Amino acid sequence: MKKLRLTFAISSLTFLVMLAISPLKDFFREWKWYQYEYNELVSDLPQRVKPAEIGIKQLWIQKLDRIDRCVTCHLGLNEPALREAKQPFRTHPKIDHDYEDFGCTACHEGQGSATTYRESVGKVVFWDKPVFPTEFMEASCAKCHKEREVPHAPILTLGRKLIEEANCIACHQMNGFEKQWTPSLDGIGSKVNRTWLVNWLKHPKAYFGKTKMPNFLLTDEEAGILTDYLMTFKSFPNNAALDGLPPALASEEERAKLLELGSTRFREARCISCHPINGRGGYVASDLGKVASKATAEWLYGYIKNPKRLQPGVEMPRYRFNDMELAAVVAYIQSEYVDYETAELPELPPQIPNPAYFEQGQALFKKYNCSGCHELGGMKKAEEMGPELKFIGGKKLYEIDFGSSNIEQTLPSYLVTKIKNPRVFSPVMKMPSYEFTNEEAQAITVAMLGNTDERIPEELKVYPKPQSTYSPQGEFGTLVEDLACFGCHTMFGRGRLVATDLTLEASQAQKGWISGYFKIPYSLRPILTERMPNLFASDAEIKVMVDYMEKVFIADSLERNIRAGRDEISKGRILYYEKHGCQACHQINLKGGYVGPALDNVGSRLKPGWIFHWLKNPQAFKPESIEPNNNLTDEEAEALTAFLMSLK
Amino acid sequence: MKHVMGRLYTSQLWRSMFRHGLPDSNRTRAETIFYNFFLHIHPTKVRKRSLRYTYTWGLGGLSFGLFIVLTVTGGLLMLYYRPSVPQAYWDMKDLQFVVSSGQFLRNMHRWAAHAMVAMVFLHMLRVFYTGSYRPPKEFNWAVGVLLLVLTILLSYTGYLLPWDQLAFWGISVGTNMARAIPFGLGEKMSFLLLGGNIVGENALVRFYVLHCFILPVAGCVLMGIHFWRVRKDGGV
Amino acid sequence: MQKDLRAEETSDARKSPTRIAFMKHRMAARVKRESEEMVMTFPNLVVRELIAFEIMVIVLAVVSLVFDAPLEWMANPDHTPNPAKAPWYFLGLQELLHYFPPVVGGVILPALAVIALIVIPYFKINIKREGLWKENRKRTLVILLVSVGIVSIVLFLFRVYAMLIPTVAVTLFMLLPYFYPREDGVVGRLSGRPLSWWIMTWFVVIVIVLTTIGTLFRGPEWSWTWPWNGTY
Repeated sequence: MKKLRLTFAISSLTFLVMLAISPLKDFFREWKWYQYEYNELVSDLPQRVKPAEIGIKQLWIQKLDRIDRCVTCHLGLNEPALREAKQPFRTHPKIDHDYEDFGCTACHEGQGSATTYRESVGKVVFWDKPVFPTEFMEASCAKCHKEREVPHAPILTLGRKLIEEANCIACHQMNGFEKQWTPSLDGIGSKVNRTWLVNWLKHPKAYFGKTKMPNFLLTDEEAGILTDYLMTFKSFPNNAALDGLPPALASEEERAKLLELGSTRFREARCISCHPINGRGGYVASDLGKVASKATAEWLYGYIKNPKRLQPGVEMPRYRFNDMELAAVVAYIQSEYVDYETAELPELPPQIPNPAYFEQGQALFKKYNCSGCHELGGMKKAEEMGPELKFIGGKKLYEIDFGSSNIEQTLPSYLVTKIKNPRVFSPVMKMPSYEFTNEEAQAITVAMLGNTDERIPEELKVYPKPQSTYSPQGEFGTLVEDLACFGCHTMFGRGRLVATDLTLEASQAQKGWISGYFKIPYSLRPILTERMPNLFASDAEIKVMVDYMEKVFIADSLERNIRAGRDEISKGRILYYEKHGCQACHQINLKGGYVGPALDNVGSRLKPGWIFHWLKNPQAFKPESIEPNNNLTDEEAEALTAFLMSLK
Repeated sequence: MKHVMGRLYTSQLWRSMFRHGLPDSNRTRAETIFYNFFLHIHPTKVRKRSLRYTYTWGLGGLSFGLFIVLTVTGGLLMLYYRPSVPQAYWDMKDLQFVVSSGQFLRNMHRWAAHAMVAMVFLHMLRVFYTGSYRPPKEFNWAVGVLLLVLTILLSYTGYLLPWDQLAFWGISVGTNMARAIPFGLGEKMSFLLLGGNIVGENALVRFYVLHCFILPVAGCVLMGIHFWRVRKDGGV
Repeated sequence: MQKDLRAEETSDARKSPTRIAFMKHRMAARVKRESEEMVMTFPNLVVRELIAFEIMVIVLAVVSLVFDAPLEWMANPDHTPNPAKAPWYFLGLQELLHYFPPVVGGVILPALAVIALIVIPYFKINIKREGLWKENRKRTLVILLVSVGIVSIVLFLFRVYAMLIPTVAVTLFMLLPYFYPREDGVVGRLSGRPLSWWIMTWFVVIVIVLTTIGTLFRGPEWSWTWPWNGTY
């Protein structure tokens, strides 16, 4: 009986002690120590900082359906006095969003509900969104910011640009990107020679360093078969065919006579504004440095004569060359832009003796989803798409197959590795190599991580401006199409920005000047590579364009009558040279700086209303302009305008 | 001290609750059992033999003990739990991170539940191997088998409630097994259980109600019968 | 009716209450004249029960302090884990489904098991619990070998080695007393076991083997995985 009592006493005591352990553990939780430490820290500060009340603190962000308890330990986020304090007490850097409106995990990720360091950072099993490393932080901006250029997020903006340029959406579905124009492959058999094509397929960047075409890591055999397959496509889109060479290009001697003319026209046409030559020159079109070893003379002749006939949609102007000039340019290209390395080598055998080359080549073409970018023989587009990436940023860790690689097991590191080395996780993967640099891979990863299916209230989202629907009609429209103006210029929000935005051109420049510019284009900044080419347009065509511009590319609000009396001019001269020191950047009569354009003949180029409004606020027209805004009064601006207009 | 306690034991309040005095004589000891609602399931005297632990290994009693632990911890957990998607999961996180001893309660509930399934199964084996199912206890054996089934169902319905991957797929696999019952009966049964064709919010609510009300009440009734029968058939 | 009954015991009414037992001939339980030593329930039994309960809670509390209940990622209907496993007590069943068609493995076999469990006491065959080999040894051997043979062939055809091996093992133990009859020792004890005992043992062994395999030895695609290469 005594033994029983003793046992009962001991077991009852142990029972009570065991049940008390857990509440006791609660009493000494990690976050409490941080709060004590914080209070000690702030009491030592010279400034008066309110100590924290001991207890779990949280931000409840109803609109984002998040509860973040990070502020239990991060106590000094709003406390300027703690800018230099150690973490977790340091002040939050200034950003455009108030953390009390958005919480912490909306941007930083991690486990907001947690109250211990390890769990809140989220690098624990069963939590798939650990705190974002700093270099990927901008991905969070992308959840709401869908616009093309996200303010204060250069990496994200670069990533989106790279994704669009690399035409990732040809294989992967993703929202918010535009499909890039890529050449049709119809007629490639009449365009290129076989040796070039084999080498191109094996390593496109060896021929043209900036090509968007990725390396599909083909074996020699695959490249050969694919080449044989492609070389069978001899006829161009819409059944266009090559005309054959004119007699002027038939023989070596005939061609030699044309070289000088060809060289002149090649320069006047400013081909290098768009085409680089061996890596130097423009960036919007392909390299011409070795083009004579790539394309046939017949194709060059036919293509320059009318680019869109052989390659619909291409943004190359149809130069108004006559037949002689055309032949001369082709002769010049043929003599100058030869690949001397492969020219010496014998041409690769025209066909691998493989009877099934067509089927095998077609299979390869389909396997690598070449039709995602390139049209060929009316084949269906994009049959073998890659995985959809609309919501790649929300991919769970357990859905990722890291293969046998030993990288850090996180989504960002997976994506960076995959983008840099697309087949590293499994040799059966098909994604080609784009040879991205580390920075590019990181930027693309950031942009992709922002593609999540997280529910964000619509009112928080920022969308890009709708696509411009501007499409000029009539004679002007035809000319714009034929001369590929959109390839360099933007008009009403449509087109590239290699050259100026023409939307307000007629408010800016005088009619006579524009007409003259079409005839003999010159650059205001001769240092630039991308200069306006001479299109050799006829007087009638120029008149059509100038008349249209006078009517459409003009804003009434920029009209202004400026009195240009002697007084105003001399007052303006004083303002120019003395008060504002404009000559520090601009030249007149070869005197002054080189930063801005020379102003010698500005009075016969620009309209006074434009000069006036520009002087008042240069950034209103060109946000990136470095011209200072001098806060001129209307009177000052008018005087300066009068002075500038006198420079005829 | 003794005097104070003596006053307490003789006070009207005490006597109104406990009608017997201190259990210091065989009579009062018997009354302690006899007049106590909880203890009266026991006879006032038991065979000395049945005090020996290896007599039954106490498996049935311990199963009931686990049931008590589960009721207590489960009741406390119910205070924090909302059977809805996805709040259920966040409530698990809150239990872990915020609620005082929340994780401990959940651990206790979970491990006790697993232990109870094992314990009841072992109890069944003990009863079989000692031949205690033979007449006149054959009905109580059947009740016991039903209690085993109920225990498993209780554990199974509770398995879904945390609403994590383990829960979701554990239950999906389980209900897919039930679908194999022929004549469309399986489909009907799993539809009835889940309140739909897949495991979703409806299933969560149903499992919650089954787990916290229907099955425990059924269990209590069957346990009452089970214990009462044990006693009537000469057990403790 | 009268013929079947006989009174076995009389009692001294002054000492203890009268007990009369009516028994059928073939009933196994025997009421012995034996005055068992009785003790008070309180405190002897009640305190022991409390101690047992307290020790159990102590063990549970220690386990709960050391091991956290699992909580994986939030439920995601779009992603099936590989393998998707039911709670452990159903893994024996899931293992059965791996071998048999769903109707057999998921419905018929488990339903048979539960029904068999419930009806065990209602079958009054061999209520005296006589040893398997007590009478008709030859006939028992033939029936045993034929039925085990049929079950084994079925199991072999379905390649259910996880059930075949325990079945053969239990049968070998059943045959042990036949070929090596002993009065005492392990064989002696085995020879006293009735058929129902053997069937239950067979059932329990299979439940344990299947559940263990399903819990510890099954990985992705329900393939065989050694526990030291990771459990799923």
